[in-house]
Amino acid sequence: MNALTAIIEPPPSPLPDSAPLLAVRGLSIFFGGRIVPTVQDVSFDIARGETLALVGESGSGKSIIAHTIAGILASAATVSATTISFNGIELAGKPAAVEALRGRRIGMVFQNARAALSPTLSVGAQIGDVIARHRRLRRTALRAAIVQALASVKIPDPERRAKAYPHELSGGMCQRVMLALAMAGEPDLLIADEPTTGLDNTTQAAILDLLAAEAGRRRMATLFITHDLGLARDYADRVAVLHAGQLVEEGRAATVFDAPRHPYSAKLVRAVPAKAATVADLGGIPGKFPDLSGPVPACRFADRCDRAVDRCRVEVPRLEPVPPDGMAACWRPLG
Amino acid sequence: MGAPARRRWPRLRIRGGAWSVWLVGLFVFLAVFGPTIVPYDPVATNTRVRLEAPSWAHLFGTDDVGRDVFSRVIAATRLDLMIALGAVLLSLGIGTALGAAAGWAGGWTDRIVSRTIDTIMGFPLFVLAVGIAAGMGNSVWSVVIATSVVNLPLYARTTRSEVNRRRTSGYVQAARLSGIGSFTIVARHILPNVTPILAVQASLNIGWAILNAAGLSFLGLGIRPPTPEWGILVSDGAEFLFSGEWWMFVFPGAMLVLAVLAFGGFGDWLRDRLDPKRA
Amino acid sequence: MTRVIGFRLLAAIPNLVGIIVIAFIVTRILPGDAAAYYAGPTATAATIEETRQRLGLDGTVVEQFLAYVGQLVRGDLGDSLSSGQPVIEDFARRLPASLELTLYALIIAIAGGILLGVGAALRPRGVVDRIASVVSAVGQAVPTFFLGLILIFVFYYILNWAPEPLGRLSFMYRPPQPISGFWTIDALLQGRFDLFGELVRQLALPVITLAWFGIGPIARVTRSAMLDALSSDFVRTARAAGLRRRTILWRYGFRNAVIPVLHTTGMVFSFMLGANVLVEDVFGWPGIGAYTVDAVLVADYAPVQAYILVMAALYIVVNLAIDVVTALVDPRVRYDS
Ligand SMILES: Nc1ncnc2c1ncn2[C@@H]1O[C@H](COP(=O)(O)OP(=O)(O)OP(=O)(O)O)[C@@H](O)[C@H]1O
Ligand code: SF4
Ligand SMILES: [Mg+2]
Repeated sequence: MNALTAIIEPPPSPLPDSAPLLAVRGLSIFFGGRIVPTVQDVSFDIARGETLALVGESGSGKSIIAHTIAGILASAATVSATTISFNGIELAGKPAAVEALRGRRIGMVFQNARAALSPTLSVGAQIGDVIARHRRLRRTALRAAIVQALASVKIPDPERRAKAYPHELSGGMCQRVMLALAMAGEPDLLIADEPTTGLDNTTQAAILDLLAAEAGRRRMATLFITHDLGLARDYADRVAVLHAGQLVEEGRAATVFDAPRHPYSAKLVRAVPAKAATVADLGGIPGKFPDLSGPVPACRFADRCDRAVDRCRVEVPRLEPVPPDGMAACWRPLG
Repeated sequence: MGAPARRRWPRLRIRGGAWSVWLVGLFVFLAVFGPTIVPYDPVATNTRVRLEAPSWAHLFGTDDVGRDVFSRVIAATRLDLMIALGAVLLSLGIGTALGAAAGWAGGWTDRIVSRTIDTIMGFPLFVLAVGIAAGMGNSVWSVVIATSVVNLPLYARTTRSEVNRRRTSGYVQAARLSGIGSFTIVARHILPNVTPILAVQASLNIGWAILNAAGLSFLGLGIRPPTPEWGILVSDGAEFLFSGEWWMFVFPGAMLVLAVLAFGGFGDWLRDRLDPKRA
Repeated sequence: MTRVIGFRLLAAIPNLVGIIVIAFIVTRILPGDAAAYYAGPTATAATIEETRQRLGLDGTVVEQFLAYVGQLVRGDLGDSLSSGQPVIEDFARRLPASLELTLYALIIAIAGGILLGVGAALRPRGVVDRIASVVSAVGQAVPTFFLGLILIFVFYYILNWAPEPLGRLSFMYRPPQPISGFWTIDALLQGRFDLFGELVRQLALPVITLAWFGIGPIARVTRSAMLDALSSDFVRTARAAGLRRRTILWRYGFRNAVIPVLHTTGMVFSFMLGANVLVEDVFGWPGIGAYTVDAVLVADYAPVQAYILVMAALYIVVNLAIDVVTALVDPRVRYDS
């Protein structure tokens, strides 16, 4: 088999039997001028009320996967997917369908909340825009709803804070505002793209606890994107590990952390023993992160993997069930 | 996001290429030899050929007293370029000197120079130019000076900030300690660093100076007919627009446009060469 | 907000002083004996001497300057030799014509520049982007007066779409009763809609000529500020929150791009005040620019300094307005100042 065909046409991944809230199958994302897809054949599910952590190094494609699901990917990219189904509705290749869900059924929060809020509108006005988009309210009712939204994310003195501009608030406050903004449409799925990066530990914990409480209360599904393995272990039910655009392992948080099956996840877990350490600092993993602008081996980890065999470079490993639960994409999994 | 190329205004193919160097060369040639190579005497009248449309004998037609428009337009090149060049050199010289003095000496010198510059910038520039040209009366110099005064800030500001920035640098301190005089330090060690920026500004400025000077003479300020000058030629020709003799205003106007494009392109070309980071 | 305005007003004072000084210098470099000019062509040596004393021209430069400031404070800008009237009266009569022309041009330049710039930012290298770059290139290379003449030639002489370019209104029409001095507005107020149409036809070419040169810079700055805003994190948030495209474009995108655009508008206005003289000259527009040039050409110099002062004052006022709008739009500015 020719290496290039193997990379471009990987065998289809298996479908699960349950009916999750979000099901992604065979998602690939291409950027013009690159010969390999930046994200390749990614598949995962999230059930109602479940939190899935998507972890991976910087540049592995976490954000662009999230943007694709929310339909806000930069127009420079081309997406192909067998299925992106949300609550039974097919979203792949249907911008109008995503448009209808975005901000209502699907909410999103980003990192660096202060930059993610418009500097020239008060935070109340920005939340008001979102509420007004989803519910027809009169002026006073809208004002009450804004204050209520701010109060629900535990912002003290919400009446006064509604009039504040992002630059007048702390990073943590801005992140709460953004959470309120994402929650305003009462979403079934919340995509949180590194929501606490850059915040101090106390604030980080407060925000994530708030998020977890909201999710628990409303049986909301959460796609929690993070660098931080400690946070993934603490807050996620399941963990998906992304390496250079390939999903290499997925399973219950405890399994992935305590008994990883994929050599990359294993190195990751071993390289960052301390709870607070992050994937960003990967001194422990030898070799360079593959350069996605050129050709890469079929298993993109092959150059850094000490278990690699010839097959790894020419045939893309499929994500397959491994005992005791979850899946790994490796020709020679551990354990 | 967004590759840097997308940030740029889509370029008209014509800007900034080597063509502009050739065109500037042509204008310089016309300025030097124009009056000697034109087919007719630019100021000689000939009532037998009044208001003739363009033909092989008179490429740009003739005016109301039978002068050859082509000869007049070509002959005007020298005056227009000399005014623009003179104005730019004058403001370059004085502006640089003022800016250097302000940046080097600081204190009151700086305050007075900066205030003056701010005040000039507080005027709509062409309005100030009209005022100065009106005040100075009918001469070529009044156009030159009016054009150069409104340009002073450009050079003074650049020089001032560069000199100010380098005043405390190591090599200037060293030069000072070794007893080299202020003037020498500024002229020999600081200004050469500013020369490329100033050169680019000056060449981009020539096109603007041509427009400014032509605007003043179009209004009748400074230079008086029958001296061939593009602004005056357009102004004279404008009277005949209503009877359809378009060639009298179109050709000198087109020449102005060509000159502005040539010098603008030349300035861009120079900038690409001298200041690659801004290219 | 009032603090911002007060602060900017204070900051404008040194500017104003500088402008008066320059206007003073310009009047002092008038060729020949200023007293003789002001005394008029029929003056005798005695009346010239008397004028010299009246204008304070016999004192030191400082005394002369103080006398000049005193004159300004009294609203005395001197008399025009050609009209025989106080310059201030001539100006008061003609200023509305200049303002009507300039303000319409400014509005068109802002609207056109913003629409082209936003369109260009939505589709870089698309049709709108190319139109904008051509408009801008023409504005940079073509002299104002030449563009005006070309428009007259094409739209009046050849196509005959535009009325004769001789002032605000053809002599066949009776102008509206002056209320605001803006004839278009006065015509509407008096319900003379046919007259309004005629006034607009008459305004069209000079306004387009003047506006043209503002469209390019405004479009260019709008384009790049919009590209920045549209690729910002907060626009991404607004999209993720499912807001309407229109809301995202204007309320989240443009609102955050407007400040550089406003500053460019200040520059454009300055340019228009200058180019205004040329346009008035070309279109026979009875404003203060054409009046001043006519006066200078017959060696009547009193209007010149009045002209410089009025234009500079207008520029200051517009810059003040821009500062205030900036502070209204961007809360961060309020704290910086
Ligand atoms: N507009 C674009 N054009 C070309 N490549 C892009 C573009 N946007 C993203 N990429 C590429 O996609 C890859 C994944 O980017 P993404 O932002 O999803 O990474 P990430 O995993 O979220 O990283 P981080 O942890 O730093 O946020 C990167 O290699 C990046 O170079
Ligand atoms: S497929 Fe091969 S190279 Fe890739 S991780 Fe498994 S063993 Fe290593
Ligand atoms: Mg990311």
